Amino acid sequence: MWMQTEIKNSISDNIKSYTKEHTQSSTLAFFRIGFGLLMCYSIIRFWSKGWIQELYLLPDFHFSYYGFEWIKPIGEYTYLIFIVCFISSLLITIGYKYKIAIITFFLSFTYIELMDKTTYLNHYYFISSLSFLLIFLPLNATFSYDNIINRKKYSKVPKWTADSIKLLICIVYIYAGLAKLNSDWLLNAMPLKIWLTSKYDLPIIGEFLLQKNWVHYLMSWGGMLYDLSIPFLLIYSRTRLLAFTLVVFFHLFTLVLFPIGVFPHIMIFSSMIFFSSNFHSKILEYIRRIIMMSHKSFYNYSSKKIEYYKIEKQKNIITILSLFFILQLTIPFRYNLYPGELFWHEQGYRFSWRVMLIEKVGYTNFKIKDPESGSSFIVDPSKYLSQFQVKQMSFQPDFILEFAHYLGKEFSTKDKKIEVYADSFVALNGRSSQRFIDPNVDLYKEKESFKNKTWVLPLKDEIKGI
Amino acid sequence: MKKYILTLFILFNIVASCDNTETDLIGPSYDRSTLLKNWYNQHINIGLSVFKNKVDMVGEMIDLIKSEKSIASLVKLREEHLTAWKAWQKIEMFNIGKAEEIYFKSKMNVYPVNTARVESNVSSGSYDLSNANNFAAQGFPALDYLLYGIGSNDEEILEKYTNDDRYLDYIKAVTDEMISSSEKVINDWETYKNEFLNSTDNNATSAVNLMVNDFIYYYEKGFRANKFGIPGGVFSSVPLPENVEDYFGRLNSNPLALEAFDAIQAFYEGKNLTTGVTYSGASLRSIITDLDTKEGSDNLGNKISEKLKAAREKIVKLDQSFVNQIQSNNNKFLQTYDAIQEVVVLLKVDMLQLLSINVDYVDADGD
Repeated sequence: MWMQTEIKNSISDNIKSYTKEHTQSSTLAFFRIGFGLLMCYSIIRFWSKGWIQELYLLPDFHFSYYGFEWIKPIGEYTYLIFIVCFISSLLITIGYKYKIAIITFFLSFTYIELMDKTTYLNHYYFISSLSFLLIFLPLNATFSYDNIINRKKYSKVPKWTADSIKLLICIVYIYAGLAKLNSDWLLNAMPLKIWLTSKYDLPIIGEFLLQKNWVHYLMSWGGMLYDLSIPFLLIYSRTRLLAFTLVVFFHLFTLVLFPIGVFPHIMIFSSMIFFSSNFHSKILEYIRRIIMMSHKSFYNYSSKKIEYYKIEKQKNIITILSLFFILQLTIPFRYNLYPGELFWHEQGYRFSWRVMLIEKVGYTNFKIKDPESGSSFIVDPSKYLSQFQVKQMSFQPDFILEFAHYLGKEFSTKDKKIEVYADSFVALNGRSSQRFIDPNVDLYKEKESFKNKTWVLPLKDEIKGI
Repeated sequence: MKKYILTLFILFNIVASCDNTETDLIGPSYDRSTLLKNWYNQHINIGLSVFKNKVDMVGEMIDLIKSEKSIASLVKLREEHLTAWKAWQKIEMFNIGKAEEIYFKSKMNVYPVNTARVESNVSSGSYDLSNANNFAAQGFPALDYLLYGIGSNDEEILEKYTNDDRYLDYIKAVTDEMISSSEKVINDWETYKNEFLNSTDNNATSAVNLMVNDFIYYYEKGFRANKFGIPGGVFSSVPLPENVEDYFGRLNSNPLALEAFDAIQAFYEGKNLTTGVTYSGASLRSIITDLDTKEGSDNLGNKISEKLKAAREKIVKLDQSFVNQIQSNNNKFLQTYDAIQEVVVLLKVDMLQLLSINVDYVDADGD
């Protein structure tokens, strides 16, 4: 007994002393500025490509997350949400009213992501998670407009604040790496084989290297080893430069190969938080000089320099964030609660850092049946959905169910409830297509829930691994 | 640090050399530029020039009936109409370039024909055939109506052309429009050809991808749905025989469908559109066969081939007139539809997965 208590005490002592450690506040300021700028860029990019209109305004129907059916695009006002999100990113960048800005950013960005799950991307989830975390961290401790207003700036912040950002990034990489430990990825080089082969039009490497079998395996194994090792290489100062070179090379390569938007920029930037605070201070100093050159009036401002930033209610915040990280660590494993093949039924697939793991193509039509007369007809979903929605709906069971219910309501009358059946075929990672949904189950009678969807037919194959 | 990279490199090589049995893909059967050459030389160019001759013949027969209003002229006109309609089946799938721009397909073969619109155009004598509202009042289905549907027998039909010039003017206007549209498309290929042949990239606007998408779209919509699904009642609670392609002539819906199917098969298999001779170099089938690692009858290239054959066998056994077939035994018609549908799944799911055609609508992280 006494030994246990002793271990407990020593752990709690360690935690206590850890929470008292400090690091330069420049690290957080550096991260704040980069994050804010990247978000500004990402919103401008999204808007200028016409995606707000295409993804949120044009479709009549939107696919909702279970429990968030009330979050929908709000017509033309959807643009306002993007404007709010953009302004809050700007405020984050300059560090003005940081707390309000980051909360507004988190809420508006997450609202946008919840409007239609067709657009789900792991990197959007990363931004939502990260911005939630940033709400609790004093990113405006130095080099911020808030310093000028409050006439106070801080040179040191608790070490755990910067570390928690690093921890989130480590989780992303390691979980992405663990997810690659499966037979499709490692033994068949799938789906990279399909994607790389189709890049035959890339200059120099397209016609030659990307067609080689060994290149497909090299990149599959390399990607897995990269994800699993990069957090450690970044943490350890002697390998950090090598790690950063790898990060830049890897993400620029994926930028060339795949249409993954701003994700490479975000990951390259994020990895820079692992650099020493001296590096961050130097960058800030450089930015300061540029600002001073154009705005000499800034010389007049002076803030009182305080050494330690004290986080109010630190205990509560640490509790909230511990809970947040426990969730981050467990949610990706929830798929174990469902029988069958995860890549096939995708129950527990999202929010788990499973990136680039599956190439899935589906074809799903719906049969509307009158139970009384027995007569039926087929509905082509492209009459109701955008091309992109059709593509996503065709191979994801929760989408298929939600759309079946939409059709059920559409074709039922007050006196007659019709039946809806899916005629669905899906192919996964180079396998032949097979029937996906039990064609004899009336989906209009099935309810969305966290329970196992028994009407998804099992994959006639096995994928081994995590 | 060098040691570290070296170790990684060696490790990769060990992993990679474990599996070296598969051969590399680039070869003549996979080469996109010969693929495009074949598509142009063996299908598009041949199909278009044959079609132009046939549609010109329809124009000549219109002139004939104008100068010699007789049953014999009517019969000759009908014959040329059918021949040209068959030639059209060979090229409807090539909805690319000028054809797409001028709505060639919609102006040539939208059915069912809007008879009320045709009649009102005929009686008013003023209409704009380039207007989208008139797409269903022109082209082959409109001619089908004007040659078979405006009277209960041949004498009555001929009377419409002899009584006054309004019907004659309209059928001439429709035919002239068909001829001039065809000329536009053919002339444009003279310049478009080079751009087409060099557009081998894998992106949303490259010729390879546009053609594959056109082919699938045509098979699913133009062929499967329009010729079988819609009239058979797949998309409605009851069969709709009035939506059969040659509803008024009635005798040739099956031959027309077979012409279309042969063009589909030739395109997929890599056979000359008119001679049916297998050509060398790449075809859709050769590319898919190479991309799929499965062998024998499991190989997708062979699978699609077999399913196409099976579907054709079913079509051949149907009545010459789909209207008759639907009215006498629609189940047999629907079973044929199902056989055609099985290929749709292979094209849209298995084939698109292997080809990984870039559509580039939005960002993706591959999940």
